[in-house]
Amino acid sequence: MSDPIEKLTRLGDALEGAPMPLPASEIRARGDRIRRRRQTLVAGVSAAVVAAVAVPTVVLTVGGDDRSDAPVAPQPSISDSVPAAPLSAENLLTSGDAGKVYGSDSTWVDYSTYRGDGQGSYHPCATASFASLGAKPLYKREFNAVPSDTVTGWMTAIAGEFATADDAKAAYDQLSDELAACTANSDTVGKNYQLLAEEDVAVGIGDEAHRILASFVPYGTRGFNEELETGLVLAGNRLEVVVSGVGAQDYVEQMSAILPAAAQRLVLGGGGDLSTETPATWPTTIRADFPLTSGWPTDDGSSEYRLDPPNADNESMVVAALQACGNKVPPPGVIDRLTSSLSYGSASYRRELELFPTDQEAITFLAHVRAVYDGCRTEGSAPTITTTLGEGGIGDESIDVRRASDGVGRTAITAVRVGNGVVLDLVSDEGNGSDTDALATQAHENLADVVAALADLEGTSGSTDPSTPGPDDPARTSTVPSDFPLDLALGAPPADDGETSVSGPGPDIAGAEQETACGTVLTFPSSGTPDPAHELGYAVSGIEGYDGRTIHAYANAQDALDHMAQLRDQLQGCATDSAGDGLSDRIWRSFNSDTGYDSVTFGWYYEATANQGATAGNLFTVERVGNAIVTIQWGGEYSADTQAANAPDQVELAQRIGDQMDCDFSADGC
Amino acid sequence: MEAPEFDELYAASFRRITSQVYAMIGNYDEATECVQEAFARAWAHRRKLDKAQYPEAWIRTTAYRLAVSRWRRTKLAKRPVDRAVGAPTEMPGIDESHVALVAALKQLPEAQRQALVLHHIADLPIHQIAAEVGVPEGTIKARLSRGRTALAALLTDEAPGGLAGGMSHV
Repeated sequence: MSDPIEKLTRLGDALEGAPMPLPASEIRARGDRIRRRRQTLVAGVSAAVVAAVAVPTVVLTVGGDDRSDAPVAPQPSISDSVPAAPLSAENLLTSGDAGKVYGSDSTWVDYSTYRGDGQGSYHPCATASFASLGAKPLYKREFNAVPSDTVTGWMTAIAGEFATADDAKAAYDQLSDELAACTANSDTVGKNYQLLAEEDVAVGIGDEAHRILASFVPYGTRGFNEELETGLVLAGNRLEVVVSGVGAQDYVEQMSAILPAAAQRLVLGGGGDLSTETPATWPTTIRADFPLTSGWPTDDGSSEYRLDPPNADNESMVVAALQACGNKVPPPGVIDRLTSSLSYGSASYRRELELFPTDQEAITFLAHVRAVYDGCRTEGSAPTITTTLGEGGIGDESIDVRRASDGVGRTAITAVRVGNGVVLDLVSDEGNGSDTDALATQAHENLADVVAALADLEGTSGSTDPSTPGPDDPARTSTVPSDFPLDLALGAPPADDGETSVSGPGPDIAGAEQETACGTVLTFPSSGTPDPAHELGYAVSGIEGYDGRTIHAYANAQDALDHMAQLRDQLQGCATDSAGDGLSDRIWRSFNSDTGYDSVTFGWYYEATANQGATAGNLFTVERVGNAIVTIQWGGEYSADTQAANAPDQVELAQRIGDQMDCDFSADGC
Repeated sequence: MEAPEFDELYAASFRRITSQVYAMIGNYDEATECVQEAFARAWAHRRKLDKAQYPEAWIRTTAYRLAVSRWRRTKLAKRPVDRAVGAPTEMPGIDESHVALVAALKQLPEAQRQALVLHHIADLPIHQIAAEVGVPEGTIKARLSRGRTALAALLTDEAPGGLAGGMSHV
């Protein structure tokens, strides 16, 4: 047998002839779209509204590297390594950066942030305050490990700005030596201090970083060992020290991952003191007509329909419903709140909108929610509840919690933050626990108007750019360019070869077919209402089925928004119907539609019955970008499972077509 | 970084990085997609890339993290073969012994596999691997040593048949 290492070396050469799937220009185009979407207020959710067109946006860039970019939400971006703006709390490491506590399932959660050194020492081995080194201003943030039942941990981050880069470098060198040698008095350090490792860390940005690992027994404890890990980051005239203590038997090694994130945040160019800038920026009240219950079932007169209308005096949903494995989310310090709940049959719905003093408090609150469910992946027995936790793409950030019983019962919890506002949504019913994904998908769809209203609330209260086009303003164009790539394919495009018929793209091509759901003609672009002056169609018909697409450009974004809202209303509550074709009933359902744009993906299939032989169905994705809507239809003789399995591909295709639409139909173009 | 410079980097390093990520994760289609996505993100963050000492390492690390993230979601693994749209990426000419080698690599712990690939395929010196992975050099040396031993044992144990079904000629 030849040397495996020789084989390894040859493997690299074996792929030298591999094809280049995409030209560099397409890669760059995708990169541009990623960057633009990252800077959009509401991004990445199937049912949410693309903010650049639909709602005014908050103009609070804190960096950014392209002046032509659309207004963006207050989110960090990379600036120069020697920032011009003053240091702020935004430059401190966050719980999101810190991630998990090393070697455990617990998460670092920040519980206090303040300006200055504070009362306690920032590091057990520090001989003097951080301010005494010459840092001004300086900010400090303290973290706890949550949940704390399986791990003992604390962490502190402190960052300061010095008069010059040389001063910061001198402090960095001094602390690198001092914190490793740990010559502080024993009252602070305790005993058995032992330096285990010391090294420089590559962080990719900033000037340099250093990591120190030590072991010691903290003073006042009963001999339990702690691993003391320290990280220092130097960037221009800024210095940050991050120190953690974790009860562990193993060498802790988390700072190598934390320091690059700390460096990126430390060099942020924007800022200013949060305490002075936020009152003028964030909304402080929720208007009474906020559509908190949008998307919920409407009152059908049934005695089982019991609604607690939105009210600030209703019991907080955080207290009443957000807990797992005995861990509760701490009551948030909100400045305004609106809470509602609905009981309807076996289903229960809860929603709450909270406004925090600043976005930082809202971020911290979401970290608490995340930590509670992250620390409770399974709970109970007979039944056992299994929790999955994901990061959603709604708003500035979102959490997607799905809790499934191994018997009957399922719950979907969604938390969405936009600016300083958080929407909490909980829906549970007695459905099969194995089908929790469907419940969550439906819940996300139902949240669309609520998230859009929150984005509106955040946008209108902040400083908005009057030059930003509104949705009622005339669109840049209401015609679809004749060369619009409506025939985009994920793989090789289909060929017109006798067995397969390809038509278009063209203005007179019948693309997506008209569809009726529960007796109502759905209001998406289709061949049922041809309008060649504002449309293109494309169709592929073959033995594998029918792929029809129609794109329509409306006069303005509001028209397109209205069509999407009407479509959602039409689909709402339509679970089964009959096509009147003498075949079995059609089962309707919706799918995750995470295209990055305002979209919905849904379909139907024939119910399997004794008299129903061939299975068949139709899958639709309807997507709006700016003032245009595209319908993508895939129909064929396929099973319900095949339809569901292929829905993600259709969503991916819609995303790519949406990226093209972004250039032609969004307010800013591309 | 300007467009011509980026295009040059893409042309020069795409195949190389794809081969490395493929060796790390064992799925060529996934590796291709993730490297493409990493390049797109590199362009989106091009100012960050300007500051990176080793742009190729940045892209490789990003692609690898994307791939691992995909694994953990296991979303794509459930796709059926009768996809309505799209076609799998065409696999270049890789002989069976390489397929067996990648299969053996997949059985190694993630850290060992990563160290082996970076050292023996990416041809990186140990100090550079340590910087890229974020661990001390001694740790990398240990991972390489254990990885080599485990890989040799795996390839020996599996022949003939099993993993090494196509390796009788080597």
